[in-house]
Amino acid sequence: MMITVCCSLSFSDEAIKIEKSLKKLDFDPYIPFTIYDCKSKGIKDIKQWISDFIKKDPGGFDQLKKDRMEMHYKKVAASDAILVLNYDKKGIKNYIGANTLLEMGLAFWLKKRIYLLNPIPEELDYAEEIKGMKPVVINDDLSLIKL
Amino acid sequence: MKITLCLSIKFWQEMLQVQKELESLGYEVLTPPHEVPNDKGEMIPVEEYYRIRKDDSRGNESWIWDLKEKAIRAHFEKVAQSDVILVLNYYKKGIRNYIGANTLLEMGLAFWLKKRIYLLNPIPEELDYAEEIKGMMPIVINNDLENLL
Repeated sequence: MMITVCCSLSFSDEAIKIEKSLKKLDFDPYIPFTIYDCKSKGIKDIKQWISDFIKKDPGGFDQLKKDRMEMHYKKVAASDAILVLNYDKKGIKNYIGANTLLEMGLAFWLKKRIYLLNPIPEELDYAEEIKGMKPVVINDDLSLIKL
Repeated sequence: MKITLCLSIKFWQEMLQVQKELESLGYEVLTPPHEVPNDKGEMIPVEEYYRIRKDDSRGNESWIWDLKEKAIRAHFEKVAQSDVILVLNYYKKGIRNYIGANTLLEMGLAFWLKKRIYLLNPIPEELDYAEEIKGMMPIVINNDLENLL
């Protein structure tokens, strides 16, 4: 079963750990390309790298963003399910960013199962849209992911 | 050409005007519904449904969330049926050219389906997700419907 991991880049270390755990459980996981791309380029602070990139070449960054969004969308489309890594961020419990929300939207359209590692982030403005997409909350237990 | 309008329901009155203008320019226009069925199957205004939904943040009333699911999918279908989408982004919640999460999702689908995405007004730079909006390469028409290609 192919499963695409969707998360904020702030959760890169966690995504790599989850990727390993999913492999152990015989899943075929895919994590965002940018995570390994930054690792291979030795970029430690992704947020800073993005902010520097935007300052230097805003148009170039928009194009890169477009390419990376399309790349991950294709993975969502090719997979059987997505797993959203929603940890605490910016003082918000179980945070889900806009990019991940968009990937959930595509998974919803394509009728893929949507798993959330942690409960729905009730504090977010778009908690209602998240609920409408009927994700399955697995409370950090990967064994609950089923075909 | 078929155009699907994507907007926050707060902009309903503005939408009616845009719809009228687009139709007079010869476009076929798809819009969100203004009434939805409640748990008894009675049609209620969308604004009333939103009020009920806000009161049910704990998610005890399953029909509310089933309806939300159906509503997202129904407008997604309209996005898929159309040639392009036009996002009506006006001032809301103290934010210029506001785009809400539901509209963002519709833009995301249009982006995936490679439909052209038009914004009536400029990109809402104040929003956290301005970066994602820019990545979808929308075309800003600055409130001039003649700018639709």
